[in-house]
This record gives sequence, C-alpha cells and structure tokens, in this order.
Amino acid sequence: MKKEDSSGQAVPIQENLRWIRLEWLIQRIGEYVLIALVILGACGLFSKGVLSNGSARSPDGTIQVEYERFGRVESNMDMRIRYNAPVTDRFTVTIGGGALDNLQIQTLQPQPLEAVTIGSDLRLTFSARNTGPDHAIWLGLQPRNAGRIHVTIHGDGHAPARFTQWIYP
Amino acid sequence: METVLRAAAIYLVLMVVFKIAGSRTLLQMTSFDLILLLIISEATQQALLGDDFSVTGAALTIITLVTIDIVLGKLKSRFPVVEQVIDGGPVILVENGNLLTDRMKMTGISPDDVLEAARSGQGLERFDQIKYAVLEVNGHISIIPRADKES
Repeated sequence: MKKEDSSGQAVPIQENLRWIRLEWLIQRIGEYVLIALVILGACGLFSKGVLSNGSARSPDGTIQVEYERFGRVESNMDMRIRYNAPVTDRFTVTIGGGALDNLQIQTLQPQPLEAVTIGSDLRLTFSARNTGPDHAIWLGLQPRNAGRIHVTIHGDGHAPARFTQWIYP
Repeated sequence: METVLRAAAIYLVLMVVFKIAGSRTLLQMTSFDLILLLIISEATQQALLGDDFSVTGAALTIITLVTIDIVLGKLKSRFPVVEQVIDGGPVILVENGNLLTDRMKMTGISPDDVLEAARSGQGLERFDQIKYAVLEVNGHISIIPRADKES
C-alpha cells in the first residue's frame, strides 16, 4: 500500500487509485447485476416466461383470461379469453377499460360476426350455433405505448375480469 | 425468456462455427472476409431480435451476450481445460530453423505464411534465421530471431 503510493509519486504519471478502486468495485458489483438481469430475463421479467404468465377471472367465473403481465412496446404478445357463455346462437365479449387506446389488435381468432365500439370499448359478437357453452378467443396484440395498461373484459352482461399489464419501453 | 435464449443460441452457433473455421480466418483477413463478417452480422441481427422493436429487448440482448462473455471469461481463468477448448493454445511452428510440418498441417499454416510474418515483423528472410515461430491464440505468428544470425 505504502510502496504503491511512493512509486506513484516517483513516476511522472498521475494515477488516482481511489477512482481505480471505485471502478473495480463497480465492475465487481456490475457483473453480478448483469447475471441477475439475464436470469430474471430468462424467467420472464421482461415478457414471455414463467414470471410473465398471468391469469384473471371474473368474480362469477364466466370469463377467464390468460395474459402476459409484462410486454414490450412494438413487440407481439398473446392473450387467450375463455368464456363460459349461456347456450344461445351468439355471444358477445367486450374489451374495454381504455385498453385499446394502447393495444393494437394484430390477429383475432375466430373472426367476429360484428365489431362495434361503445365509447372506447370494443364489443365483439361471435357466432355460437350448435356449439357447447365453452368458447375461446385468441388475440395477438401489440402495445403502442409504454406504461401501465388497465384491461377489463366481460361477456354479455356479466361482471368483468380486470387486470393490468406493464409495458416496457 | 425468448430473447435470452435467442442470444445464447446465436452466441453458441458463432462460437462453434468460428472454432471450426480456425484461427486462420482472423490471421488472413482479406477484403472478402470483411464483407463476409458484415453479411454474418446482418444475418444474425434478424434472428437475435425478430420483430421486437423495443429498447428493452435490445438492452436485454446486449446484456445477455456480454454476460455470457463475462461468465465464460471467469470459467476460463478458473479451469484451464475450458480455455484450451474454447480458445486453443499457442502452437510452435518453427524450432531452431526446423519446420514442424505436422503442426503446420494441423493448424493450416503454410511455410509461406511463416516467412511472410518473419519478413514483415523482424525483417528475416530464411528459416535458419528463426529461433521460434509460434502461432498465438489470437491468430498472429510471433517470430523470435536467432541471436547469432541477427545483424
């Protein structure tokens, strides 16, 4: 330690050991931070993974939604809506809560018979002729803005399933 | 998850391909090799990011690649076997003016390559002026001249 200091003065080179030690410390800590980020990324903290899989259901259990908790701007994410509808010729599913201000629907399966807007909500009407009560709708979505998105989904007149999605920039 | 796996897969593929190609690709970098490297980077870019245009996705890809590099570097310094497998070791090509043809054949270095390195680095003309010629890990040939023949 003392030898290092004296040799530093003898040579006409200005070295600042305090900063070098600080840099070394930052590198040591940073390596672990990076490894932690990669492991969290592999687990799905930044979309698509175990940590990102979420599911929500409405209070009466008619609507069940499988969604991704974390998404990324301008990149695709999936959503599956399961609906236990009363047996009739057609059923409706309404996506709202201002979600579609921030989410762009890329794909929608099956195709609805009718799509209408109520305020900023989207009401989709599907055919259900000669089918059972269980239906599924697959959506491919692309977030347009970063931040928190509140989504509500309800079928016909039932109570809605509510959840939020976090979109990374 | 997907982003991390993509980055890890590309890293693995590139490492294996360049291990098979050998260190000569770096040694003899012609203008075509430069173009080839540009095309390779262009081809990997699609597979790395896909249709992801977000800053987070790009950051995660970069972090994953750098982290794999850091972890491999730590493994190399702890286990010499890993370093030998991934980077290889130095190879002696010429010893006291004698060509070691077996080693040259295995590493894909011709006598002309050694002479070229001897001329450009040390200004030597003949093999008997060379004490050692060593193919280093980074693909360069180090020439150590004989003390008595030097002048």
